[in-house]
Amino acid sequence: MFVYLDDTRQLGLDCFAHLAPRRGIAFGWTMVPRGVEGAVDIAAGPDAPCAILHASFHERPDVAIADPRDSVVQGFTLVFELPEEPPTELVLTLNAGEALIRADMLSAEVEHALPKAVAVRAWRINLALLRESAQVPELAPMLTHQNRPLGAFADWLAAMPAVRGRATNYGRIAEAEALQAASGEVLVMLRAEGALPPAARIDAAAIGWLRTAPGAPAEPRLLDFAEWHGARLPAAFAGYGRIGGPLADRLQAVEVLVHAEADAGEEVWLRCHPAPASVPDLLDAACRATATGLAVPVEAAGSAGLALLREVIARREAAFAPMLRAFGRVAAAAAEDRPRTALLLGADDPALARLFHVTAPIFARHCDRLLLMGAAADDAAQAFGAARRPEVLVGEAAAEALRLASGTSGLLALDAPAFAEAVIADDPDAAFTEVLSGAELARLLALHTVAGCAPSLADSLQRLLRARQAKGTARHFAPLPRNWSNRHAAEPVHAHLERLWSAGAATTPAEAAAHA
Amino acid sequence: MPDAARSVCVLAHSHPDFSKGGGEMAAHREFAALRAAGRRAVFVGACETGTNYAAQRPIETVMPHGEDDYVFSFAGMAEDRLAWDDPWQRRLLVEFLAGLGSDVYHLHHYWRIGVDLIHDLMAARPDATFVVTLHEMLAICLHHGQMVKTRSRELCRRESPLACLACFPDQTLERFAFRKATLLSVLRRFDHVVYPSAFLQARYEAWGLAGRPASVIENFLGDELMAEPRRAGDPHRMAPRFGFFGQPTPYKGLDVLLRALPLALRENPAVTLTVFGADREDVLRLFPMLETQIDDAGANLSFAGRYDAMDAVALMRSVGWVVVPSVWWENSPVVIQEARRAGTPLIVSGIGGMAEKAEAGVDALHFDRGSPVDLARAMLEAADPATRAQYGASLRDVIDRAAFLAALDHAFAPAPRAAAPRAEAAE
Repeated sequence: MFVYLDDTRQLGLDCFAHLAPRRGIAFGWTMVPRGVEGAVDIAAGPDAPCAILHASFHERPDVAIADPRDSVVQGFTLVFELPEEPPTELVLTLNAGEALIRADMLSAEVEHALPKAVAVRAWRINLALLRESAQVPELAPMLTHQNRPLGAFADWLAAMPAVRGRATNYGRIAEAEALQAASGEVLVMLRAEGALPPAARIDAAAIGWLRTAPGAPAEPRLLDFAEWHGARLPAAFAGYGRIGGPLADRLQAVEVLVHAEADAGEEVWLRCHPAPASVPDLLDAACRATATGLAVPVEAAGSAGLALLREVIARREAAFAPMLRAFGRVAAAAAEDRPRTALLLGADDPALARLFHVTAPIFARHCDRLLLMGAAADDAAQAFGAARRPEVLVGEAAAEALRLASGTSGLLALDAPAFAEAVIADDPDAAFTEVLSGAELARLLALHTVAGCAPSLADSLQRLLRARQAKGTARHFAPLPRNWSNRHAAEPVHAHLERLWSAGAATTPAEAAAHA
Repeated sequence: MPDAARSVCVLAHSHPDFSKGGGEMAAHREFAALRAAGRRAVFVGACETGTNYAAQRPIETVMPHGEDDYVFSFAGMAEDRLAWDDPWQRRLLVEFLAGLGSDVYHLHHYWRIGVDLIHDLMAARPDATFVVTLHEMLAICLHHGQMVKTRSRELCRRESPLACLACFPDQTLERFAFRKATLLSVLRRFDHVVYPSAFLQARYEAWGLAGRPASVIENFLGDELMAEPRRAGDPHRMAPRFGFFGQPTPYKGLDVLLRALPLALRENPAVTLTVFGADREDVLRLFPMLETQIDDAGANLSFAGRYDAMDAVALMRSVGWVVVPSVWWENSPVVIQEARRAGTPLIVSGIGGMAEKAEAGVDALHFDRGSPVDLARAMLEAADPATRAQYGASLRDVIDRAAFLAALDHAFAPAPRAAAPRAEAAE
């Protein structure tokens, strides 16, 4: 609906909808003469003003002005109170100096379907409103409107191009890649088909899907980045973010809404579903600063990628190293009884079922409960079926038991290949000698989260045990078997991971004793 | 309990009524020898026929096949036949075997029996003595136990994970370790390990089975073959007559022998070769490139076709020398035993079980494995009647029943249970 008084006084009402039983929301715009302070109010009758609970304003470049020197346009979002009884009259009034302009909010010309109205708004305004909705209590119902995930924003977000992990060809973006590490970090790389102008910029918001009650569906929530670093590289937009805070532990999945603007008005919007990635994968992607099929070389793109990598590394170390050092101090001080729960990692091969079938009594000697983890854990667990001892847990139950043991009872840690080697050496008991106290286990889980080099916890356990047992050159961080996108990335990444893995590690028995 | 009174269950990977491999023949001959000596013995053998039938129609897991003679279906086993996919069928077989109440369980092989079954049977019968005869090297080598490299066909001298990975690049080091640990864990629990050759013993002990009670006991050929006459033959007539016995597989070295024949004929036209076990067409299917050599040999080369295993000793007496030119190790080849039984000396590749069972200078002439030139040299030497006479005189006979049973009694002696790791592992 659009109410015209003259070229300088106009009122646009894009939407009026119920937000809650006695709450209404309205979007629109006002035009008043330059120098005049416009004011809006809402009433359900002559003596029934509706209190405006929240108002926010934004630019509306889409509204044409006859002469910008004479008038000013402003968009608005209003949340207001509604009378107890459904109103028969509802009027939006713009006080434009000496003139009043009224719009009938109940008119059929006004859009009353909130998701539909949001979907047709400028996406930049929607992103701002989405952020506001997460912060302003009066707007919170926007996120739960009609009990839909993402509420009134659902239709808009559904229309946004989705990138699942990696995709190609969005306007001048040749490759879009989004990765997420278990540490709550996300990386978005939009690699352009050529050089980007210096003014290009990137913005992003994170939507976290949070675990709620067991069995209940995850619930979306706009999350604050604990830190965000958006950068324009010579031929790519880069965004590195870290999700922190109390909600991070409940995070099941994350989406990143990305808004990149190469030139004024040339926008790319993407709804990225980051692919799970190990920390090395994430760091490698950060230094991959050009699209694979770049037709024309872009000067210094490689250096810019390495600079971004160093920036990310610096931010990671600032965020994670103090935490790891703290875990190390606690772990060194821990002294607990020998646990009767064993954690066996690396159960990735169904061939293990045979080995466990014939060695189940050995496990029963050493533990009452066995947590099996790995791709074939389910299959391998069946091998213990007939023996009844130890109790074997896999999947969620094993993960939960691991969480419980972390920081409390600790456990015996062994990995499947090492157990096999001990059997071959005719000394299977030797596989059960690695005790991880609750504190050490907590440190292992933290290390795996922020500096894990492979999806499997087995790799992190092997690194931890190697560091614990090794001397001399073997103390160095074991290199990662991978092809780097930029060969110069190998050194800083390895050095970074080594620093994290050694943060809080007692390097000698004397140091361990000193910590204790 | 005196050894002679202990009952024995001979459990084998096959039954000679359905296949004629050396292992199952040896197992069944042991069963027959025990019974002939008045011992209580039961034979239980895997049966491929029953297994194939089980794929289409229900069939009993264990079926009687003769007096104290049973066969079982291994349809519930995993594809590699080293363990059972179907624990129900495994349990049926374990219950049957445990229910036999034997004092001794003598297993021939673990393939088609299953390490998991062995583990369960040991747990079900902790009081029994368990003995295994390791007829070949499947536990050590994924390449059908041959210890021959998959790509180059070079001989492999020692198992190592990285060497195995070179032969099987699609496998993982972890999987090799899991497999070895599983097999070793079970094999170490046997009270006694029997090896048909010292060569096999050395390979298994180098692999990890050292330090366990073990002995080398030659396979027994059976009373029927032991009753065959043993004749050295006329060296002048027999010296240039050579025979090959067996299937023309890529590893038996028949191609080496067929390449050596024209070289030998060039210097001694009296040399003849008879191939027992294959027709000309069988050979050409496998070695089409040898057609010229075969044709050129003319009447000096003949093909006798397939033969019955029980006729082998008699057929060997028709030639002056039995040639065993295998290009792989051969663990304990029955053909060598049969030749020795027949009184016919041998020419063998100088490696593995062949070199051991056909002793150079006593039973056989040795030649360099895979070398037609060296084989031709040995054939020419052998074609000399004086050489034939010398070897005909020195050639050793095979183990007789009394010696065989005595060796078994030693292997079957009850182990001091406290010293047996099995009791703890199967608790």
